[in-house]
Amino acid sequence: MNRLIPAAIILTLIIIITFFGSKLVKETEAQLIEKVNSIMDSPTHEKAEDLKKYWDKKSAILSIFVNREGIEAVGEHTAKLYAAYHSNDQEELVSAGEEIKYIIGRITENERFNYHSLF
Amino acid sequence: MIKVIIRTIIMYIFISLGVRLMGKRQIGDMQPTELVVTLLISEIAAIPLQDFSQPISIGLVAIFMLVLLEIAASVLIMKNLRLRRVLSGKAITVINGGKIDQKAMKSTRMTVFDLIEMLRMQNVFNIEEVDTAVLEINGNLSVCLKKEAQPTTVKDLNLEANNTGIALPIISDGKIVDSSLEFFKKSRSWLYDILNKMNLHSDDIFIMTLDRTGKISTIKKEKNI
Repeated sequence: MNRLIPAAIILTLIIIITFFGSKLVKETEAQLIEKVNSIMDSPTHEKAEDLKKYWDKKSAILSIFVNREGIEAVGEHTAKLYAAYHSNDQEELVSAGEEIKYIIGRITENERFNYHSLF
Repeated sequence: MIKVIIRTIIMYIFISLGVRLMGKRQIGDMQPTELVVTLLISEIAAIPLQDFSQPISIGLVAIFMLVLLEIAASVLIMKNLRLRRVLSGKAITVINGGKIDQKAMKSTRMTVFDLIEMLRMQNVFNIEEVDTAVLEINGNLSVCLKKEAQPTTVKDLNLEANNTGIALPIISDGKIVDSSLEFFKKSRSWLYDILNKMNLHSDDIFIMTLDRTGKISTIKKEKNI
């Protein structure tokens, strides 16, 4: 019995961490895609700044739950998108935006429970 | 480098906690399920310490899930004998009534040399002296000698002997061990009375032990150490 109580507490913590991590990844994906789409549709300085700040803030929390390689890849393409906006390179801006959407999609997919990722 | 230090400290604390939750057993005494969990934990713990792209939380969740599964398995094994047999196996008698059970030895893939070696580890150097030998789940061999080969006991000699039980330290390196006093249902004031009678202070004592009969043994601290 003395082992069951700490075990139950740990199980509860694991469930909370898993649930919170999964929710955070989903929310981040939705918001990031929305921000990237908005920049791709009508790029402005505020939107580019907002995306950069948003990712800087979220990447730190996300790194607790997901592999850092994916986070760094999104960070790299966010910087590319920011630079492309300032150099008026529309092609590079679209390319970086699509890369961000693809990578964040992959991160979310890895976190989602499904049979092909299970085995 | 600071990341390595912090990650190592975190993993050390949580692994120690996890292993503590699994209970006190040495490698040689482990049940098969415990051994599997221990091997897996050591492998998983190394991943976040070697690969910094992996979040530490993944390693910790995996480790604690293994600990939880082990606790669940141990609870189920305790309640269900059939499950115990499936998960842990069963003890096998390899010598019964002084006769080697060759079928049992074959089923455990144990050679005669293995058996003789394990008997030697139990201080049995002549297989003829063995009445029963059981290969336990954890791989140890338990041996019961034939009556004529068993050592003489106090009972055999019809002598009287007091059971003193274990002697526990009530003072260790000058510090009073409350858990030992509690075990013998004694209080600190009782101990202080004893020390007063002996004209000693607890700081002067290296070790003081007490047994069930009330016998106290004392070794004083050596000066200039």
